[in-house]
Amino acid sequence: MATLKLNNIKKRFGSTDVIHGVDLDVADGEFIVIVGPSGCGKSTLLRMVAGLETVSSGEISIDGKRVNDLEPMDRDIAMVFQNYALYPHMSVFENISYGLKIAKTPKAEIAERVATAAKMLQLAPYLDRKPRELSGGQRQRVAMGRAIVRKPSVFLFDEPLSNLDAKLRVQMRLEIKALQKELGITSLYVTHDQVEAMTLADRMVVMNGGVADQIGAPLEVYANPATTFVAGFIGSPATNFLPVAALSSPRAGAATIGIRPEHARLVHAGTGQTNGMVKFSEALGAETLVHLVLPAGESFTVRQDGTMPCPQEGEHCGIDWAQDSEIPFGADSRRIEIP
Amino acid sequence: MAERSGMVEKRGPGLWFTHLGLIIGVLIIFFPIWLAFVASTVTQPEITQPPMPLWPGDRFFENYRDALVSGVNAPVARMLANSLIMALGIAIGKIIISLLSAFAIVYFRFPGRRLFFWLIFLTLMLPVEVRIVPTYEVVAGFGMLNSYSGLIFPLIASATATFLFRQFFLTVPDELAEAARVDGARPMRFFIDILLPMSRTNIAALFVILFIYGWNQYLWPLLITTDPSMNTIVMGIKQMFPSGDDVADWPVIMATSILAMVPPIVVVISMQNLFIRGLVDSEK
Repeated sequence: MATLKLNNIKKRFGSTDVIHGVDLDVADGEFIVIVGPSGCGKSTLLRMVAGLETVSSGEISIDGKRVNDLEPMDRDIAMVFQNYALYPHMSVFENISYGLKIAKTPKAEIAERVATAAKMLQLAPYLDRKPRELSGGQRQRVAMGRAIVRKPSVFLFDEPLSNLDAKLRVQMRLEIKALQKELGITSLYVTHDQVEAMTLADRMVVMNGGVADQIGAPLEVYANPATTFVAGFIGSPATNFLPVAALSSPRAGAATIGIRPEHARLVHAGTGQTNGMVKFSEALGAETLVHLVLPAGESFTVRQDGTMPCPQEGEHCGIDWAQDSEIPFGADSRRIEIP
Repeated sequence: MAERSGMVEKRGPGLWFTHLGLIIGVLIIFFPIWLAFVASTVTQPEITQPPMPLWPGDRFFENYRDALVSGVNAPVARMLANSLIMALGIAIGKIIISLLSAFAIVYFRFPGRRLFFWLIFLTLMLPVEVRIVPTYEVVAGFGMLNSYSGLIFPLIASATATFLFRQFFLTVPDELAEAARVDGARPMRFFIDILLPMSRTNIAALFVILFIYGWNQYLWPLLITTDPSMNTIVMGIKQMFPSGDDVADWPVIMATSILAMVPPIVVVISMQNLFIRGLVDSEK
């Protein structure tokens, strides 16, 4: 139970700046997801909070206490690694209890805490097994168990689900969310998967090139992206971007507008805001994604209901949307408000 | 059909010939050892007059007791103990030193890390024989002639083993070290609790190799032990050979040779099981 505060955190590797100053205030019990493409510095940021990387400048505090110079073990954190990092020669019980053993916790208390964690994670039948005798999902749970038993102030997750298959990932995602709610421990979760970020986060941090482009609640970020990067990264399929010059009427101050695929609809050629040629369409059952090419060469995606009529490839269509669903961006790719 | 396609038909005699070939090979290799064993169970005159006996005689217990208790220069039991101490000292010492130096080189960033690694690596190019005179000077200067420390210490540093452990440690995922750090393990704790158990297969394999290396040392013990009670068995056998007009006590010498072979065989066979189990169990 703790707050976490990052104050203008920067990281340099040699002469390369990796993180250019990130500020973040995490409230007690909040679930924060850091999302971004690979190489944006999100893992480095997490590792700095963990104490596995030094902080070049700025300050990290947990519960108001500066932890920049503390070893990981003294920061009262627990971390779940991408490849689980289980000790291969130890049983599940030993893996989970190793941290407690080092902290010289009494044996009876260790047994009790491991039993509680194992019950919570449905690991009780496997406590005597070695990690190699477990499935991917079970290993993932052991890694979680190792974090839980320590009762840390802050949980750190470094892409914990990326080694699992798609179905298990969805299931574990729900379990992690439920577990975090139940324990109420402040959590920092790194992922490159925007669906994970949307579903897990109380608030999410969208990182781009070492900068936090936007911090906010998932739906808020989705509805009001602060930059074209955020608009393009969050949401699948991605937001369509159109240069204002390509539109029939000008938009004051805006250089580009973004339109979410679900806000656009297909109409008869010549009657919409713009025209396009159908390249191909993906029928997903509940919905159909129609990919079009605009006259200037940009691609445009329209998401429509699965029951709507689907145009043929090569057909020319009009594309229409309500003007108030447009997301305008200035020439610097930042969001602008149109009066 | 079966005769022409041949696979099944050929298997019978083919298998036979294979086994016959292997058996003959084993017999050829085993024959000298058998002769040594036979010679260790008969009397001196029986050996010296042709034809040499091919079946064991009745003097097994007497000859082996003579060898173990009195020997020629020193009792064989004493030489066996010396060899055992030297071989164990070299094997265990080498493993401990190389584990620690590999741990330092892989997991710690200190000034001159690469330099030290290459210095260790460079010593690979200098076998004992090349540096034997200066080493002798040093050992003599420390007054370690005719002592176990003199037998063990000059041979205890091993670039090969350091290199092997370094390569193994490099394959251990970094996340394991980081997880241990988050769990609160200080470096030596991580080394003992995580790295050592994970290296046990490598340790077993190296122990076998290094034990035999230590056991078979000949030149170095020959140089620094002048007192027969410090002789190791491998050099001791040579010392038993007659010089000038002495008469060689062949049954005792042969009994000594057979005894000298036993400990390495025991080590190989007993460690082999652990070694294979380790390989089957290994997981990464």
